[in-house]
Amino acid sequence: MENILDIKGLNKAYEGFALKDVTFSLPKGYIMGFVGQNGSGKTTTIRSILNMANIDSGKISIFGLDSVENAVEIKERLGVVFDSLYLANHLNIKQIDKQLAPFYKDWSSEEFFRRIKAFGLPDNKKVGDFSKGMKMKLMVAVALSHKAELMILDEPTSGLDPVARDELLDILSEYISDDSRSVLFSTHITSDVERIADYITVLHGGKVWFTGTKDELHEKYLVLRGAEEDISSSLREKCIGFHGYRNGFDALISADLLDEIPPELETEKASIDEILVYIAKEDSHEKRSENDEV
Amino acid sequence: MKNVLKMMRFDYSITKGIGGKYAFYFAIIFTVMCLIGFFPAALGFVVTPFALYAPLETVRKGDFMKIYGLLPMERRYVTKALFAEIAYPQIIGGIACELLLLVTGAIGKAHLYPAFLQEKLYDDNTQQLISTLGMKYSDLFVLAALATALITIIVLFFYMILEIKGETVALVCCMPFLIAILAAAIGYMLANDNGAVPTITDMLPASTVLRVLLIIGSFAAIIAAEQLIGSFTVKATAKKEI
Repeated sequence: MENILDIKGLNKAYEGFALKDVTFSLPKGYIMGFVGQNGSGKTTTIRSILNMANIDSGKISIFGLDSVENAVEIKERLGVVFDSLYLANHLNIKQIDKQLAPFYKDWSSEEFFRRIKAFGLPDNKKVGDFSKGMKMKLMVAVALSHKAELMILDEPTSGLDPVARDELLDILSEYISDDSRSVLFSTHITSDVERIADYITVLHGGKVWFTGTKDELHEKYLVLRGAEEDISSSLREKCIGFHGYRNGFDALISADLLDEIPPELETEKASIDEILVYIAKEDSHEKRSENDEV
Repeated sequence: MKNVLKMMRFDYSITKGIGGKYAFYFAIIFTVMCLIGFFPAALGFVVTPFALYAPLETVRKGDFMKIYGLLPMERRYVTKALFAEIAYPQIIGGIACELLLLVTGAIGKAHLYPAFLQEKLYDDNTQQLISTLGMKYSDLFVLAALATALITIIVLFFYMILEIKGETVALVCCMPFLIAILAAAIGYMLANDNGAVPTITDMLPASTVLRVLLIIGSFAAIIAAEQLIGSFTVKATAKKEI
């Protein structure tokens, strides 16, 4: 399977935060959901892919090209949607078309206006006056008008109403339908990922916690529930984000440990939301233990 | 050069709707004022280009800045274009000022103004204004070119610091220059009143050829400064993140 995006051993440190050995790939023709808590490093990874942040080490390849050496060629073939509009607020659609057209060899004004019309965007209004959903659609229209082969979206659905979110997800599904294009979208709205992503990369504390297909993620982790006296201490240590309460406990556990689970305990498929919550709980347990040791 | 022009076009398409129209109105006002006899208005062309490039800095703050990281364009051209956007309109403004002074001077000498305008504007107030500064009309040509060069180089310097260190540092760095220039101008006017310093006419070269060379040299200095400061800023900001 040909990868459209390859990240190997990406390291990038800021004061108080670092991306550590981030490695994942996105095959051509698929959508990858890039999930993690706020501050997990999603935006820094995206900025590194776009060469907007200087990486400390590692290698990022897009379309088989180096993200630093071939940045111009890559950006010709890349579409980007941020959570806020990166175009001048006082311009209208016609002015945006005029402004961007000279930068892209494959820019099609016809396609741009066709998309604008299809998305129901007014062409005489200042883009700064658009609603958040309209701004998202405009950025998607820009990406589609220069025939972007990879679309990167950073928190595109946050702040959108359910209808606008649904429309955006439909657009993305349609975008990859010819199997030659891919989408990487970061979000913490996991229902969007559940709905359209084929692959998932979970980032936690600047590290890749999981990367693979959505099915693999669901098969790999289970939610374990039961009474605390029914779980052995060795199994309890292997649990992720163990949470004890008055009538029992719940935790996330690797499906590989299914044989070790006593019949008194219940297991069920873990949603992405649950996985993220348990990872966060585990993290706070670790921090608490470290503090106790100190 | 093609990429710099592309970026200049991009940036001007942003400021066109903000400051661009004001630059146009100012140009008309200054031209009309000159032609009816208030010829120092030609010096307004030295500052009119501000309206073309200054609004960009306001737009550049915030999310819009991301576009410079997304466009398929090497970052050095983005930076070089920024300095070209300042220098070339300033040179055009300077040249427009020179041409207006030339035209106004020719009209004034030919006594084409209606008598009341000659008396009220040309002969009276403005002529008096420049003579109190110890100047002749012909000195204005050289002073306009020197002022254009000085202002542009300070602005280029300001933008260099702005790009490298940010707005606050840029303001702190440029303020002493502006205060020094203002103090020198006021000091000169006061000293000139007492006859303690030579007049501007005496300080400028007497020969027309030398004066023309000084004017050309001033504009050439702007281009040299733009190239030098632009290249330095490109190097200094090569690793700057967006």
